Amino acid sequence: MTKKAIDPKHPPRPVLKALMLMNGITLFLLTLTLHVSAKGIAQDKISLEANNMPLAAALKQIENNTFFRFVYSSDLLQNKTVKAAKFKKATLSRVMELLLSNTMLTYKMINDSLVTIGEKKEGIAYEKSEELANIKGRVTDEKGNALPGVSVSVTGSNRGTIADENGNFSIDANPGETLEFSIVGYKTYTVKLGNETSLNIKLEPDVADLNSVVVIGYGTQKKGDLTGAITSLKASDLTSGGTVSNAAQALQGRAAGVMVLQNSKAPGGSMSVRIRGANSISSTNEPLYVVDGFATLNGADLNPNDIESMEILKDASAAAIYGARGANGVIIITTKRGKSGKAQITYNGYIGLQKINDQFEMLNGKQYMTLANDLYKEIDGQANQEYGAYTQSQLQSSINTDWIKEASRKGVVQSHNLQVQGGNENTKILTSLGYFKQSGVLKNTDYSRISARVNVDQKVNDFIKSGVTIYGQRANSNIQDYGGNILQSNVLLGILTYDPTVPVYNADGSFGRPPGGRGDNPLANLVGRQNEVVQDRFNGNAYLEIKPIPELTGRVNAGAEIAQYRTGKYLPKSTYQGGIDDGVASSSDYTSTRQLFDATLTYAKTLNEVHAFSVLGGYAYEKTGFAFKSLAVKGFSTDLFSFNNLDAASTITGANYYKQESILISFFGRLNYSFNDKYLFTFTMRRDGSSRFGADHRWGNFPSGAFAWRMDKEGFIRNLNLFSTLKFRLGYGKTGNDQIGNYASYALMATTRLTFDGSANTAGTHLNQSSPENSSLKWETTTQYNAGIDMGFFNSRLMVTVDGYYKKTTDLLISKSLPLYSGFTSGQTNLGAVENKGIEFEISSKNITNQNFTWDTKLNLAINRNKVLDIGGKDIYLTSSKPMGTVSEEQFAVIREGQPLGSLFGYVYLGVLQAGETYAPQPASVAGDPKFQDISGPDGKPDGKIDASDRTIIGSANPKFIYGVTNTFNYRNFDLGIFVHGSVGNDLLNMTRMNLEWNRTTDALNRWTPGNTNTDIPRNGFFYMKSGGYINSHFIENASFLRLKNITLGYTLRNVSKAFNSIRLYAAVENLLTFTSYSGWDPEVDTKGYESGNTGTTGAGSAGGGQTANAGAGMDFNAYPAMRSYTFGLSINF
Amino acid sequence: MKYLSIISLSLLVLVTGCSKLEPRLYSDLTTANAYSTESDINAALVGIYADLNPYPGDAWMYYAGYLVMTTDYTTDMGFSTAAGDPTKLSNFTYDANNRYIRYNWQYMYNIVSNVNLLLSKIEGVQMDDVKKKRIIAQARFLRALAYRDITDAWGAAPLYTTVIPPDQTANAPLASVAEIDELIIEDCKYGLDNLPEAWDESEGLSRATKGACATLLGNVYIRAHDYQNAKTYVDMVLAMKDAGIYQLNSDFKNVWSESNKFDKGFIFCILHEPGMNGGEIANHFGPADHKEVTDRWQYYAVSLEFWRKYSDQDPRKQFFYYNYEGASPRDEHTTHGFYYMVPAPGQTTPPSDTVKLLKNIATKKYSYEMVSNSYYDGRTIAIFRIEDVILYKAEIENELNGPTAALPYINQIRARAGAPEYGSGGAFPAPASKEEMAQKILDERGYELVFEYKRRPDLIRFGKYEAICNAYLTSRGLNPVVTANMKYLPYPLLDAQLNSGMAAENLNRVP
Repeated sequence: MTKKAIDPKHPPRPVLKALMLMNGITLFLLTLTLHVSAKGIAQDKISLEANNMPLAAALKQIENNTFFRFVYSSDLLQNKTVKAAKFKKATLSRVMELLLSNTMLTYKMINDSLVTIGEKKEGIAYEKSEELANIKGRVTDEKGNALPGVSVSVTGSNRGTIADENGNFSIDANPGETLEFSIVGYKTYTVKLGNETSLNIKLEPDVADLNSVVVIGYGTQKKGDLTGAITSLKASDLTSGGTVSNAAQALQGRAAGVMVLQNSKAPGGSMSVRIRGANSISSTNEPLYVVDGFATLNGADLNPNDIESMEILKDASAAAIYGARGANGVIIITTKRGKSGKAQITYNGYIGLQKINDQFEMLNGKQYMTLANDLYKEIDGQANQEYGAYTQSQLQSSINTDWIKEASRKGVVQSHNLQVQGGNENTKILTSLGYFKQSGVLKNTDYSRISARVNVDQKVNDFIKSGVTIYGQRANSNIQDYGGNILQSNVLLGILTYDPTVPVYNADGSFGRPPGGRGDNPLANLVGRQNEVVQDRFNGNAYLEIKPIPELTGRVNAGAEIAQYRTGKYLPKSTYQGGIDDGVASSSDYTSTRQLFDATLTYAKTLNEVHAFSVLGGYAYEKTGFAFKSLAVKGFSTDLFSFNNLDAASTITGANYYKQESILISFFGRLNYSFNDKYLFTFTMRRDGSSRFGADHRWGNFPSGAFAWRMDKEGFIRNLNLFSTLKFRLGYGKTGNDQIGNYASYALMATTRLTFDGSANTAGTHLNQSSPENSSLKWETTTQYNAGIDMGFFNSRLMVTVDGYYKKTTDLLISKSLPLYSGFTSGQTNLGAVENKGIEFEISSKNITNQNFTWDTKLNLAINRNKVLDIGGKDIYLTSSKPMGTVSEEQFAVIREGQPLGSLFGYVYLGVLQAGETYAPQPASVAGDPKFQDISGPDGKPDGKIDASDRTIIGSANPKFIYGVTNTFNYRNFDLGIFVHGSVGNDLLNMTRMNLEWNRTTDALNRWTPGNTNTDIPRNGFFYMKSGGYINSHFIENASFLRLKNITLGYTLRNVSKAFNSIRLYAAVENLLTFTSYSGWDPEVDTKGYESGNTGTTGAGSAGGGQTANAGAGMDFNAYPAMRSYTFGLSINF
Repeated sequence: MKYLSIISLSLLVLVTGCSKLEPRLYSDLTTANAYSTESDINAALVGIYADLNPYPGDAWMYYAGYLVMTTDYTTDMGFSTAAGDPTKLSNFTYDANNRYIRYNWQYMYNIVSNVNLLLSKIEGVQMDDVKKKRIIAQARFLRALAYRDITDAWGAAPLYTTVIPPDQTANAPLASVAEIDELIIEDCKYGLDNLPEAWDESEGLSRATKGACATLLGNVYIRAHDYQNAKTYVDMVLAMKDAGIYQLNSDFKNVWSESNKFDKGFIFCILHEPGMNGGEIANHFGPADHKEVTDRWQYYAVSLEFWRKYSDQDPRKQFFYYNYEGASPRDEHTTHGFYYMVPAPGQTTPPSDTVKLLKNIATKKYSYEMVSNSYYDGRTIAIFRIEDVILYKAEIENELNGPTAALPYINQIRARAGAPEYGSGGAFPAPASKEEMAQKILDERGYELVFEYKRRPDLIRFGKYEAICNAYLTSRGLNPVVTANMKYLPYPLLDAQLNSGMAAENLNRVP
């Protein structure tokens, strides 16, 4: 051992460098003199038969048959063979003793299942010399959390140790020697010692860690062995700052090809998630969520703090194991589980303020009245009518109510989470409690959620493991109705359009109304009305896993999920309808129950070291049902009961109860085969039966196959010295969709009632106009091809994944418009095809990795092109009862062959007709009227007339691409995260502006008048003239945006006291900046998505889907205002 | 491997036991099991009656009020200030996408399909033959009524008398009005043979009767200007009146009292009760900002021009809300309401700043003598009443025998209303010519049957649709755009998009 001279003036600074490993496997070198103590060895028993088998193969066989996982450098095991070994249910120590005998290797248990193998330096006596200093220190992860079990060694010596449960270590080493820190999942780190005696080491996660385990359907796989397109997100990707209230929000902008939209910014507003575009026209396009093995459609509103990882199965080969329900992709959520060792307590909390981003310039009261009188005169035939809207006395009024201001407030959002993880070798428990509360920026809108989770894993004996997951949550919200088209049922319509000359309250305290005004003012609707929703969810499921022989694992899962939504509504006497009906109350209960059972058998074996097989077979049974009941009453003596004593009302006005169920039965199998760890194959097959289809069409088969080539294992690739990892993947598969009504194939009847005498009612039945019989209704099937490549460069500092896909969905489940004279409005049918194709990029880069300063960038970008291939030749139109209640249900979007879903539809606006100008296609138009383009006639040619055949596609809700960029900086104890996401090339139909521009915002002052002709805003809006209310290109706006979604600055204090391991404080701003040319409140909005998701029977995160939501994306009408949030948060690790 | 086979085998056993996929229906009926018993058939018939008044609890479609937009707003009678579709109807600037055009059509055909389904199932149901025929007769009457409404508004239309799978209905041919009339006549004649003159109270007051069938027969014949046949059936109804089955209410106003659920003047009507089956008629037709009848919307109100046609001596002129002080304070400085005044013709400026000029005038018909001020009401809506038939009689007599023969019938209605009778002298001479009498009968139908879904078919039947509507538009300062083709409304856009025959026809039907 050479000693280095040290210049006391210029001590050599520790060389800071990250060690990157060429072969992509985390090298985990341990040089240990410590003897393994039997105490730490897990109880799993090993059976092994080996004759002249390479040592690596023997270890692999153990891995396949037990819970043990080995970590070693392959160089170390080269040329090492097991001569003869035969074990039956032997302990690890016995097996390892034999396997490693006659080698210079030893092993060490890192935890219950992880075994590291390193060189044994026996025979070289290690004597403590005078010069050796004792170095103490602590190893943490990138967040500063203690990292137990890290091996610390002095390079070139036999000295080594393992960090304890708090990450602390102590080792003797000389200045000038190099210390190496390593643990699986993190990059190995080396430091050359100077004079320091204490070290704080931060390890960074190894993104290229191909040994890390990824959850796939009904099992797990090493990342390196994946054949499908799967994006895996860890807890740290999901909840680092900001007011993320549910799992779907946490996903937003984080994964390529996953588009997350909060349909409404209302507290508890529904989310919609699209993986690789929309496949389906009429049924939901929401992915399937599988939470701890339990399939559910309600995964999106989980408490994000409970999540350990999320795996997004994007291509068919990954999702096909979920067959019938995999067509929209699958999001597998794994919740945190208990850990053995000292219990850890973590608190995460934040509090934030939210502020409305108001950008409408409203007319003041006087301007509004003058304008109203002017507009009155601009109506045909009323040219001379004076004071048609407001009299002279009213014009003197000084009332100027800013309804937006009156209706809004500063929102407050807070979240608190407490988790305890602990256990011993046999029993591990996690308990988690969460509380989230948001007071919305509109008065009387709020949302709160309390959730609790207990996850228990129990090892019964060497063969049997079992566990339970229990999750319960209650969400309380005060909601408002944002979907209707009249003031009573749409508070935002009222807030944005109501007369500013009406006071909020009259002198006597009653709500103000204009003389003769119908209904209530918006504040009465907002604060007078009670509208409470209580959503309870309970989920319990248990598993039992048995390994009768090492190669075979049997697993049974069973559970139930009960969701209940209770709504209570009350209109007190101070409101319009409550006033004339003496209080109106209603209460409803919706209970859904999902029972699930599945069983799988997995058999895994490796033959001759090179052929690794794993076979899975399974069965699943799922029964889902719901029941709904409601009661509506009126006539109370007092407002005090609200909706809590319906018995106190004089009159029952409605009562309702119904119940439905559906059944899904599945058989499935999967074969994984890998040759030499280089060529990987996956085949799956699933056969599903759904009760929703016609009796002869219930069963569907969903096969898939995938191939992956780990090219980095090929010599010619290694010789390029370019790639640190390189994998090529190809996949094909079919997945299905049955998300339609439970009895969609039947011709259903509806019930009604009638009075023949004006007092008693008689019950009746009649056809349900939207469900004619279709006994041949069958599966909608999506066939998907995927090609992907995973690349690592510069020792995996730069990781790039590129996937290309083509999806074709056939036998679309479409709610087809029927001629109304058939007696039906629409019917469910299988028709036509839709395709999606696209490219996704995910890039992660370690730009700077320094002991004190790191900078990481993650970027994802996705391009998807959607096209309707076939819908039987007839366009399908989507209507909305907008923009005014008295205007027809305008068709605003079209489903047309050759065009994408989300095609906005209407007239092409050419501008304002000027005085003296005649425009032949609109002979009746006068100066100031809008001019529309004559595009077509009944013969497909311009016919010199403006009518319905002149409508065309005027915009697209589909972005050209969407992207998200996360930059993370760490400097000493500071961390800074900047998350930007954006969308390019999509349009929105701004119906809100259609309703405001003509009489409410200052734009109206710039409308065409004889004195103001240089404008594109027609006289008197679009509503009183013949072409009034036409949806047209004047209201189509480019909704591309770039949004600084979140910026978080954190500071972490470590070893504050004995009580705390670490404390992290952070401040975050959400929506600080948005770059967009869109003129509405928020470019990220989807009114139709919200309307169909806000039925009161679905909760946050379960957008209902439906034809209008899927093909009618791209409308903004009375959206809940977007807000900016300022958050302060705290994480404490005890 | 032995384990594997054992476990696979046991799994297989488990699985075969759990592969039943038949879902259970708890709260739903299907067409397969909804028409099995007499009770089922009765319920199906009730369902069809209910289709006249869709949406219990939120009733304003079709005969619950909505129909007035296509029958009365596309004439000189109704006037709406509401932007969008209502204005487009009252200004004759509508297009095929008008919601009122669409929904009325939809609910009319809803009745047709439900009747056809009932008729296709009833033969297989075991029940008393007389009862069975009565059900068939009621159903066929309702189908005939729906087809009358369809042909009144659109003329030629798809004609279905049997159940046709809806996916086979695209591009259905348009049957002519004459062809459809044949079905209406056949259906109504079946009703004449099988329905009672009146129902026992225990069976319900408002079911279809022999008199309703006869009235509808008279209606379709008179529409076809077949006065001889029309006379047969109108006389049949009047004979029932003479027999005491029908009777004029002595006070025209009392017909409209909320407590007058059903009197002998009603031949066919729909009833409401304010709890589980309330109407929204009072809401939609009632006055805005009125002290006695508060909180109404005045959604449906008559034009100034139409109201001015009433003689000042006609008490029915006062059966409207006009020239009254409003309930809401004018502004923050006063407790007085505005005075709502009917402007004099040509008056464009209110006389003072406490006066508002009325733009349209709400009828008292559907808010007279409110029982309660609640949101939903228990009012009756007349589809046929005896006054209607008496005026048909006048019309028929005028055509067949001249004005003198018609005079007693028109005067019968005027006398009951308290209006001066024609021939009583002064400003009300007896009409001398057939043409003059026809005009008076048309006017009288307007005065008496205002907002009872009659105006448009009346104007068309009298051949005066274009002339009267264009004169009305001109008096409002608008272009007289009404053409002969516009006597029929455009087919709803949704259907024209699925039926090329309708699309072609629509080209001529929009202004």
